[in-house]
Amino acid sequence: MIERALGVRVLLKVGLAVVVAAAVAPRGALAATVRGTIAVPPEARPDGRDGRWRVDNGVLPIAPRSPDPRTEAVIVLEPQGGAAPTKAKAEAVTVELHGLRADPRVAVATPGAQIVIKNGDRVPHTITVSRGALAPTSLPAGQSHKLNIPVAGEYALTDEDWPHLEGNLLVTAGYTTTADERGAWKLDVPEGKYTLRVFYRGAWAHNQPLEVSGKSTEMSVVLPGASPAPTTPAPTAPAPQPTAPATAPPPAPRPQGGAR
Amino acid sequence: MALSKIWLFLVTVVGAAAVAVLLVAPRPLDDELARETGARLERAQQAASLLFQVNGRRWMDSAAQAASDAVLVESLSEASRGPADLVIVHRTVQDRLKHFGGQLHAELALATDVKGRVIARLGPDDGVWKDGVEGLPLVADALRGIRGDDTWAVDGKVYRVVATPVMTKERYVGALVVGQELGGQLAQSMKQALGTDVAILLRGRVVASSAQSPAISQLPVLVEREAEALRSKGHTAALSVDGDAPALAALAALPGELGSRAVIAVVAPRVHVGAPVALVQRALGDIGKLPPTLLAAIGGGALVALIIGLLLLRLEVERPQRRLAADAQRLARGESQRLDDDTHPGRLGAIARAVNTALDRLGVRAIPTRNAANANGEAAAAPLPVSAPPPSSRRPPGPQPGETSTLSTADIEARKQLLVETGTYAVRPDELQPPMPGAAVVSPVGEVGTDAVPTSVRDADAFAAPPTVQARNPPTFDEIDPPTRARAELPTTSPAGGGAAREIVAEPAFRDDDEATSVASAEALQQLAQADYAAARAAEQAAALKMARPPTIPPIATMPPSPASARASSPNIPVMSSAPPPAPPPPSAGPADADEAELKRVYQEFVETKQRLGEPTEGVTFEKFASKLRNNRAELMSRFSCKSVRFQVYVKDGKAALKATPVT
Repeated sequence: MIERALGVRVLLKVGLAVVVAAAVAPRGALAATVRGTIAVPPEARPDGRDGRWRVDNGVLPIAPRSPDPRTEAVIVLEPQGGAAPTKAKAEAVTVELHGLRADPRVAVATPGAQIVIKNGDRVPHTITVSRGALAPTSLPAGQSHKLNIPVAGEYALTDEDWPHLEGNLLVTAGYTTTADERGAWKLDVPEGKYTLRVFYRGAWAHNQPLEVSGKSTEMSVVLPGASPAPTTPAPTAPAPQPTAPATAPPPAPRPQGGAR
Repeated sequence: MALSKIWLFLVTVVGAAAVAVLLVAPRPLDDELARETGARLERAQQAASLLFQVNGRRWMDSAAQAASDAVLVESLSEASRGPADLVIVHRTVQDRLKHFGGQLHAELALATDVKGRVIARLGPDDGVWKDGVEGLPLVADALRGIRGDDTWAVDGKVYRVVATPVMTKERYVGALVVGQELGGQLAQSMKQALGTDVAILLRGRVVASSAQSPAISQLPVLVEREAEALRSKGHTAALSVDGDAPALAALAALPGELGSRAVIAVVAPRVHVGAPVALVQRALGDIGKLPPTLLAAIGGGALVALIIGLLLLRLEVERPQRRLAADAQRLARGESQRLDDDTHPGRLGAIARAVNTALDRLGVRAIPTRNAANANGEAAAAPLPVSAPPPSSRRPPGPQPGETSTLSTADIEARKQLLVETGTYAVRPDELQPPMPGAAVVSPVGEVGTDAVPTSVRDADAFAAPPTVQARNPPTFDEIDPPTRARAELPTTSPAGGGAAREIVAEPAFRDDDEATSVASAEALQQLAQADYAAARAAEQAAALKMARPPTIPPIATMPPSPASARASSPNIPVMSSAPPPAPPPPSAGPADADEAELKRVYQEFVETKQRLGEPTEGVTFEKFASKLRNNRAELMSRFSCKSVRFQVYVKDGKAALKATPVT
């Protein structure tokens, strides 16, 4: 009897929990998937007009940049009418300086989230975050610096000691993701009206209204100066990011290069 | 004269232009020099950029050659493959870097594997390896197969670096980077190539320069001030560097990742032309640098201009003057009757014509009658009888007969001639004073003293006052103060052209003892030459004054006191006797009779005067008296080429005296 009674209670509790969860869960959440591709403008070859030489080696073809520039594009879906996505717990974002570069180049964080800048090089850095977010701060080798940026916006990360070192901090409350090396991207968002924006190379490069309805929405984003993306769909989409903000792409195994 | 004036005008213009250039030129020249210096600096800046590029390309090729080293390729290939013994690879690569460093004179070198990880390093921190530098654009491009160059800042120094990929036949296995410090040695070599001082600044600090100067020490301030221009344009125009040593500097950002943080500056001192004296010195210093042909052309041109000027002066000034002087001397010697004014150009011709006019006037003028005026002493208030106008009735310019005037140029010439002949010519003192209407008849006189001492030839400049107008009591020569006598040699300031009724009478004196005193003395003849030149100058000045000053006619109220009162108050002043004018000979009488009558009249008057004055007259016989006068007259007529000689008796120092006046 006792066992039976316990089994009924458990069932009741589970059933109650399911009912409560169903009642509490927001309507439309994870109701639709938005996926697509992005085409970025080709990287300009240095022409030496800035006084620097850049010449082919004449033996082997020039290898593509690694990581692919498309991985630096951040796709953001911002709900229209001020309807903010579900607030999840702000996760800390880490920007590591190693190999005399910032990794990731574009770090995405929610407003108020903790941002950690870590110096993984053997040389010191003197970093600055624009818009007064961080005054020039010396960062010795192996040390890190934490900061919070409560206001959404775009912030540039620069290094006075290494002028080539540049990064961006994108603080936003929208749904975000990044493209893979083939330019494919995917976002799971509730149905509704949004604004699709693309942040690329330190600036907003695309702005487009988007209404999400049904289970899946396909679209292709072509940034100014870029040729349309190949028609063949991406064989595999990156893993969906159920909650915003999306995490930054994994660190590229190869350093980024190219002339400034 | 016209060509001489043009030449003088041109010389004056050239001189004025030269002075103006000297005074005005320094400032524009300063600006021009600054512009030229600035342009030179900008060219030097461009040349420096080209030097960097050429140097970078050469370094790239050298690095590419080093990157093909088999040991290096194999070592980096091993390191890129994965789990190799990196220590051995590191040592091997470091040995190769040292070898390359010695070959390429590189002060910085590093080799990375395909991931941008440092396998070995030469130069700063050469013991450090395994760190990643793939973030450096130069290394990242090299890992993709692109050769390039850049500017790095390492440990406070600026390095010019090149990178080249290291590759096998199939793939890239790493990158090789070599660099050279942009230090004092490079700045010195660039200074030799560019001709200007070179300084390299890193983050507002001079890290290398070809010289230590105040201007270079001021460069950080300039770089900070021009930071925006360096960021936007990458370079600046030539800028002034303030400080103790003014200079100009052109800035340019070094090509590479440092951007405007690394700046190369070319500096040149600002040259000032300075004061006109310094400008002249500089110009003189530069004359020696001119081509010989140009120097010869300039010198030849100046010499030709000088010769032309001298020739013009000789042809237009000196030669006409000499010709006029010779003409005047011929006139003075009696070899000609007039000046040939047609042969004298310009103002000299005017002078000659004026002289001729005066000669004409002298030749037709009648001797004024004095006795009548002197007899009653009323002539002071009445216009004196003067000569009649010339027969030609052509009225000469200037005061007319009856008016008064001082000596004209022609008068001076005439008197100079008299001086040549008699040595008694001079300017009367009263002629130096403004003349008065009516006081026109004057007579420089010689004396025929009754005493044994001749008084006529006293001085070449002496004057005897003509008491033909008793209103005047002119002083004798002895009464003329030295300054006045000195002035007497000067040309008159009266309106030229004369025309006034006046006599110019030379009176060669003689003594009772038959000693003719009218012979020109040696001294007088010696002064002749000087007088010729003075006459020409005086005539020229008189002509100029004629143009500049209108004739003046003083009022008659300023006449001096009457002769009677003058005599009463000044008994020692010689007073001209009231000798009547020579009576015209009767129509029926011959010349000999007329002369005889005249001599008798003079003799009688002379004796009467002596008796009146209480002088003895026993030895004065008519025959002797007439003989002396005839001899004297003949001599004077031959000397002056005059028609006759008129004698007058007057009182001198309480004694009777005679004056001889040539009548032309």
